[in-house]
Amino acid sequence: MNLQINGRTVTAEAGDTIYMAARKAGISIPSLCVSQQLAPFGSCRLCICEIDGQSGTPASCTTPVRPDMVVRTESDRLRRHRHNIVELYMSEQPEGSESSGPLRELALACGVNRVRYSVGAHMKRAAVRDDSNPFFTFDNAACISCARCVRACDEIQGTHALTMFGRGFAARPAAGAGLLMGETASFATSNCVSCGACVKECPTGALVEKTVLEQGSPTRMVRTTCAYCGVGCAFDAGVRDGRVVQMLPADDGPSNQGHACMKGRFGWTYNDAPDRLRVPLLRRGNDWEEISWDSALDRVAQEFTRIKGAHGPDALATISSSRGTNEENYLFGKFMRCVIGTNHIDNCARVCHSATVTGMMETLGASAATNSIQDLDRAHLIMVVGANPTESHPVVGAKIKQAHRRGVPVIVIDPRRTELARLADLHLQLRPGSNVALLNAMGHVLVKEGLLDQAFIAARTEGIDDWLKTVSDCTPDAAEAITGVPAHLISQAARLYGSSGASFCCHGLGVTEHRWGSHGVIALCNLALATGNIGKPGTGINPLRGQNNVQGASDMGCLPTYFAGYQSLDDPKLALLHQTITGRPLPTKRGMKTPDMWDAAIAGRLKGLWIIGYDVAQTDPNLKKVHEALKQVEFLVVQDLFLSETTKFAHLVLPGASFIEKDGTFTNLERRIQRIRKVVEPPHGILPDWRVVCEVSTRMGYPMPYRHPSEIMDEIAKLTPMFAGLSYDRLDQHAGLQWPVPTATHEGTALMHQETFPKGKARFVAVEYLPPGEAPTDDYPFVLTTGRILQHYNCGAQTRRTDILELVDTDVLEMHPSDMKELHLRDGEIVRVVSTRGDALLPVVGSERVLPGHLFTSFHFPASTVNALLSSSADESSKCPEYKVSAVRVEPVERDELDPEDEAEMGHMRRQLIT
Amino acid sequence: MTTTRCYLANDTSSRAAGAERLAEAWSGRPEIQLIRTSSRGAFFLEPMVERDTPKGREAWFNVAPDDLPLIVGGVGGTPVAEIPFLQQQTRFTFANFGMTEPLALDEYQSRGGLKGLAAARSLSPEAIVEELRISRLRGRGGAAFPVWKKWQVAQQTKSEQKYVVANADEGDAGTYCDRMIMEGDPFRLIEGMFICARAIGATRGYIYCRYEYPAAARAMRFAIQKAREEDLLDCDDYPFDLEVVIGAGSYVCGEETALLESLEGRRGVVLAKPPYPAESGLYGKPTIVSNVLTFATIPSILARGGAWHASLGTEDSRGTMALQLGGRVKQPGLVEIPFGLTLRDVLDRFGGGMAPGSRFKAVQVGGPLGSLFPESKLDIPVCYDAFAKAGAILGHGGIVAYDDETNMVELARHFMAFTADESCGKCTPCRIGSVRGREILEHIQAGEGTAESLNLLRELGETMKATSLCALGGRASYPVLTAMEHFPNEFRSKLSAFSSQQ
Amino acid sequence: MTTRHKTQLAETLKTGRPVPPDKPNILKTLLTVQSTLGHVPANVISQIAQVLGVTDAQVAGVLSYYPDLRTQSPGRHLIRVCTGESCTANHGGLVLRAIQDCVRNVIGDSAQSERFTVERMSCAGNCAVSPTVMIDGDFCGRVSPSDVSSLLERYR
Ligand SMILES: Nc1nc2c(c(=O)[nH]1)N[C@H]1C(S)=C(S)[C@@H](COP(=O)(O)OP(=O)(O)OC[C@H]3O[C@@H](n4cnc5c(=O)[nH]c(N)nc54)[C@H](O)[C@@H]3O)O[C@H]1N2
Ligand SMILES: Nc1nc2c(c(=O)[nH]1)N[C@H]1C(S)=C(S)[C@@H](COP(=O)(O)OP(=O)(O)OC[C@H]3O[C@@H](n4cnc5c(=O)[nH]c(N)nc54)[C@H](O)[C@@H]3O)O[C@H]1N2
Ligand SMILES: Cc1cc2nc3c(=O)[nH]c(=O)nc-3n(C[C@H](O)[C@H](O)[C@H](O)COP(=O)(O)O)c2cc1C
Ligand code: SF4
Ligand code: SF4
Ligand code: SF4
Ligand code: SF4
Ligand code: SF4
Ligand code: FES
Ligand code: FES
Ligand SMILES: [Mo]
Repeated sequence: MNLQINGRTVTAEAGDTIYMAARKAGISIPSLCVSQQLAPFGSCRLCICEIDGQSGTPASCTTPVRPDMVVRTESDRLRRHRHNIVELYMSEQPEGSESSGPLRELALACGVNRVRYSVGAHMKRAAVRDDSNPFFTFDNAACISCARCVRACDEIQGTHALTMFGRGFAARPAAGAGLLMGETASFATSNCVSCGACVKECPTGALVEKTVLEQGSPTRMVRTTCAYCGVGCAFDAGVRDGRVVQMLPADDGPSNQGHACMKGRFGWTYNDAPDRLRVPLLRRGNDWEEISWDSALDRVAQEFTRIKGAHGPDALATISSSRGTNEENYLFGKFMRCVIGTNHIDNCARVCHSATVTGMMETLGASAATNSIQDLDRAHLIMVVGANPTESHPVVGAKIKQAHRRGVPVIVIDPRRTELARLADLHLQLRPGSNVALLNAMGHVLVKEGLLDQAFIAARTEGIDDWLKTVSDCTPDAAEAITGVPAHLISQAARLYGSSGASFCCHGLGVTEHRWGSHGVIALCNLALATGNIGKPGTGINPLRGQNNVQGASDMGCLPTYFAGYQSLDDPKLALLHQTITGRPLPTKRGMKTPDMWDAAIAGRLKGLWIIGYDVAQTDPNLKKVHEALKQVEFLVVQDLFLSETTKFAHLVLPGASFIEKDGTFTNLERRIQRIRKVVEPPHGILPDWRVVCEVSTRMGYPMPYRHPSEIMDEIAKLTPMFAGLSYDRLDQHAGLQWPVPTATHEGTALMHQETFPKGKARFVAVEYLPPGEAPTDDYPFVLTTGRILQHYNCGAQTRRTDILELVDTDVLEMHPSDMKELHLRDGEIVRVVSTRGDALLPVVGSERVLPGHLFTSFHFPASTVNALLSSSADESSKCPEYKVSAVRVEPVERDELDPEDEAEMGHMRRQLIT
Repeated sequence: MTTTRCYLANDTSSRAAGAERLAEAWSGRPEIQLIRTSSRGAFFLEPMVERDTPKGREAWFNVAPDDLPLIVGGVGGTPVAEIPFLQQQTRFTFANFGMTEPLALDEYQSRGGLKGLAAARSLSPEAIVEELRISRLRGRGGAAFPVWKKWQVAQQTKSEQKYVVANADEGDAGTYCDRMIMEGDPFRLIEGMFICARAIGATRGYIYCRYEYPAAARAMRFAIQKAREEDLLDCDDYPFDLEVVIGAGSYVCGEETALLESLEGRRGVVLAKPPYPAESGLYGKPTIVSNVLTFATIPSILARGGAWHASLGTEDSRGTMALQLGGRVKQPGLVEIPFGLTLRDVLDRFGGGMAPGSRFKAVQVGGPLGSLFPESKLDIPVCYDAFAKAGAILGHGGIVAYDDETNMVELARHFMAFTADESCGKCTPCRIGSVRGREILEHIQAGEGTAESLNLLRELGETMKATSLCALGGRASYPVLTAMEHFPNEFRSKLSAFSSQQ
Repeated sequence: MTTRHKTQLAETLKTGRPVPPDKPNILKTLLTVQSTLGHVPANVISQIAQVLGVTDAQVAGVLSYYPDLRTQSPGRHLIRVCTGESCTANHGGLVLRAIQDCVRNVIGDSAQSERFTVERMSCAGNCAVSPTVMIDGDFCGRVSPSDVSSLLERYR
């Protein structure tokens, strides 16, 4: 529709406000309380306007457009009122408080140079601060009580940690309930998760990042992508004096739309950590010798050449980093295949979503999220299976909470009462390891109640009969016995999933990291196929891939079984193309998966290993075995930002450049390839990982003369049909591109499988419930599940080097209060967790997130040696380890066994459980 | 000995005036049987005791316990029909007052109650709305919006759940007719709400009752229970669930969006409109929020027809209005008359002039946000349009008279202090402006103001009027500015510059 | 809080727990707690929040918004004096002062210090027999300053 604003004809959509219409047309209206991200509110009243035929001066941010309306946003009357409002704002600032930037600018613009009210006793804002959050401060003196922060916490993040407190003049934002207890600093004691949404929304700087407060506002912004989790939030990195001082989530970020989480927003300060690796280190017994880059690179080339010469290419292997860029991963694969001549390459996806890859390949023929994050806005139902997105993928978690707030039903299938489980319409609290039984029973209900999408099944799938036969025995009652979930809840979930019209399924490690992980994935895919919840908006099977580039590392061919783009190593056409472009043959013999490498090393078959950005000695399961294997390797190179558990075994350590210090691309969990950009120089001339590979390769006689990662991307595009349309020119547009991108004009694929599946039809694969690798016994009566918490990230190397430590400084063992009582344990007491493999010391806390008999802990602190408890049991086809089920017992610890210093540490341990 | 049936009102104000003392003193006296009724609203006569006589009801005024023999003996009573205060009124909505026991459903019914509902049952929802359109009833809560338009929006908005909410927050000082209805004729409110529910397709209703009205809440709860037992709330296949919810002392919770927030248990803060509650109200569902008096007017309209209602009152203000007299008038109480009488007539004929010994100074109509009228402005007809034209509001019909002892600067300060106390704190002009306004007036009151203070106050008032989100901030300056306009000397004489010139 | 209070609170909250599809109602719960305990002590906020499935902040926001919700325990008798326009016009201000004087004397007597709490209230809807004083649940109309001491005498 058209309307007139200030004499100009402006086009708007029904539902737009006048403010939005004006903004789209580039007409700016003074405003403080309005935000693109938030529902209309109308508190500051600066955006007032005049409308022909309407008396008064309504706020443009809350007034919807009507066709042909005639609006003025500037007039003497409006200016006078704006002046008076800004003057009111100035009148409440306490004496001596510098009115902050935006407000001062507004005062200038509105001509407020004197506050006429400053006579007599004159009420001011309370001059209080809340510095208790590690990352940002609140200064009430600078606040205008516009509630944007509160609305951000409610509407964007859904945490409700903030409220407007009090009423009238005194109304102001506050975290938690501290003010009623007489504390003015209450962020720390509230349930705030430090997502920073409130800080970003604050128009006055009353809420501001401590880094900005201390180091000044950025003078330059560079668009980049977060390097923690698979959501792939777009950020503008703010730089001042060659240093990052702020990370601001980008409103036009396609996967985050302006939102972020604690880690991406504030957890980047590890970049300046004093113990960052700066120079290559060569082992001298128990000591490190600092050596030059040249001699370090020579050393790698020499050792690899030597081992290849002496033992053949198969004595060498690499584990590439899912934290690194696509270009680095591609090059690493290229190095192994072209220079060494082997497929012994793997990446962290192995321990993470490899079961998803196998499971989805078998059924759908492609192994990545079928839909996009934005589809959460189109779903009529959201089913979250074995994932904890409000902690692991917080921006996705917040989006699910937003959908739930709009009334979209949410089903959570998880043994733990996670934050989403608490909110969910249905929480199926199953026993760990019983996914297949539960999902098959849902299938049973779908069949029995006629909820199958027959047309879809007939046209798009094959093999349903096997599945029908299998699920016919899987009654909800039978499943109740295995899973512990009441049969009627299973039926209800099936009905909701089968009849919503658009059911979005996302899953996580609670499905994959099991003895029968790929079966769990297959069982999920079967449900989606049976109900036609695939290939349509708001539906799909959507693995919440873990690390920032775990999708990309596999896409780029850092897998022992596939070349880049999941192309078969046996494909003769590919072999030819490979030969033409790289000048080397493509090895066809399948390589070793990571666990195979450990076996090979222990058996003496693996002599040289190169690990980039992966702390296997902390995060792989059955640590005793992993350590044993690492000890056996003749030459171990580790490339990382920091010394780690793995570097303890290394012969040579190479420093890495962080994502802030290099160019490249990451692929997020919705297959979106996005740019990262060099924001600052790496310290001390550190070489980015891709340069290291080039240098070593060149030294081994195969020159890699790339000048910039964009040239590597061009090569990838040539070799890989699904990336054929990629180039940095195209990627430099802010939205990135979702693969497949088959041509240079293709817009990318937001929704896969709309018409056909890669293999034509999708396939039902019947799977039956099989028990986990380990069951509780009298000696080991508890089931231990491991996983993540919001605040820390995987091996913790990065997050432990930030102020996040002020919030959480230890892993804790969560135990149901009834078990605590039975074992006579107190909150915070240190206990020994024992499995048949090893033991670990952890503080225990009572938590209703777990059921009686069930334990949970994270694995983010090396000191807790959690992974020493775990076995090498893994999913058969993918080798994804069974991180989620171990039988353990819990023992009290004698006082004299504890290091008194450690104990003191633990005594005031910091932890914050997200419930 | 025969027992005499006597009638004594049981509403809050009658009790506060001494009815309870009578009841206590006379309890167990065999010569009388006390029937506790609603109050006729002639509060200046309360406690008033009535008894049946062959010539109809007779009443004794301002009764003390010792007066019992007079009443029993039939000495000195006044026929109720001859009380001028009541005689001159046109009572429809308040027709039962003084006559019935509030919680006796059969009495309600025998005096014509439930006829409106019966009529509504025979009509389609559209036809009910049409009847209201013909009646030209406007909301009695303050904004005077045509009732049928709101109902039509709610009726036409598709939703599996809709709500009817009675606004019983009655926060305007000087008003009490909603309280009287809830305490004195609760089934009338229930009937009106149920008719609305039928018209829009609602299955749940709430009565949001202020914390200060415990007796009203009790009466309503009892009446709802009774109505439920008598299957009154079950009509065909139409069950209607009604609940009384109590507020917690915030004036602005009378504003409809704040009221709905409060009803959901949140901070009672005003929301920007649109969406209007009729499209998206309680829990995001279509919701009719109307004043108690508005709902109480509905049964008569349905029973007698919209055209009957439209035949009363003035061009754009049809029907009757319940005016509530208070302050320094001689005869405070409830007055139901068709719109159109002048303010002066209302004060003279019903108010009976000023309380003994005091002289008129000004009258405020429409609660704490209403304008002040001096002697010279009293010839204004009491109806929405004349008031709107004068920049004033009729509001909920509260009329408070001030006598000549009133300090207008102090009164103006009192008004701004009220706004500052009751501001929800959401929008800037009201949140900060009301405090600044109060401070300026305190300053003037303390003799420290200057001519500049008055200008600033005027300008602040204009900005608050033009830019506030709701009528609390938007109208807060009316009583202040009208006080300044009509009593300029009082303000000027307080200014420091002025006094120093003397 | 006494043990009796604690059990009462637990009972109150048990009934306050929302049964889906009903949504939690913070205000209603706080009013119920207040009618049980006489006030809403700040240290029970977390407990209330947990039962309702809301956050501490949400409860604190509501608790701090409504004038009739109190976090401090009031005296045995709550005297509320109307300051509405009709009462003001009828010299309610003088009544308030008289009450304050009278109570101040009472409070001076330490044995009596928990007897009264005096508050202002806005219009009580009793304007036709104003000025109005509300003591606990009782309304008193046409109160004059000289009535005050005999009026308060009735509330020990
Ligand atoms: N804050 C933070 N975010 C991260 C990471 C981090 O370390 N910290 N790591 C990133 C990485 S690498 C990954 S892979 C992702 C992982 O993200 P998620 O998949 O969310 O990972 P987890 O927390 O390990 O496990 C998810 C859930 O599975 C449940 N679960 C356990 N057993 C079962 C079962 O048998 N059935 C079902 N249905 N559920 C079960 C657990 O209770 C847990 O709530 O997170 C990424 N994001
Ligand atoms: N008990 C238990 N163990 C688990 C899991 C579990 O659920 N339970 N989950 C498993 C899963 S899913 C995963 S993905 C793994 C993750 O485990 P890891 O991959 O070991 O952990 P990360 O912290 O992701 O990163 C490893 C290292 O990469 C480095 N790094 C980051 N960026 C760069 C870079 O640009 N260049 C270089 N050279 N190095 C960089 C970091 O400093 C860090 O030391 O943990 C697994 N371990
Ligand atoms: C500050 C403020 C206070 C209000 N208080 C009341 C009130 O106490 N009772 C009432 O019925 N309407 C009150 N209203 C008006 C309501 O917002 C709403 O218009 C009314 O309840 C609609 O009912 P009606 O159409 O029957 O008048 C108030 C409005 C404002 C702005
Ligand atoms: S919110 Fe403020 S700022 Fe907003 S539109 Fe409106 S006036 Fe303007
Ligand atoms: S940082 Fe996030 S969670 Fe914390 S108060 Fe702000 S918006 Fe809420
Ligand atoms: S802190 Fe900022 S966003 Fe929050 S109310 Fe104050 S000015 Fe507004
Ligand atoms: S959600 Fe993931 S990608 Fe986004 S900021 Fe947090 S860690 Fe980074
Ligand atoms: S005018 Fe006052 S009461 Fe109304 S919304 Fe604004 S601050 Fe709240
Ligand atoms: S921007 Fe519209 S009122 Fe604040
Ligand atoms: S003004 Fe006091 S009761 Fe109405
Ligand atoms: Mo992972």
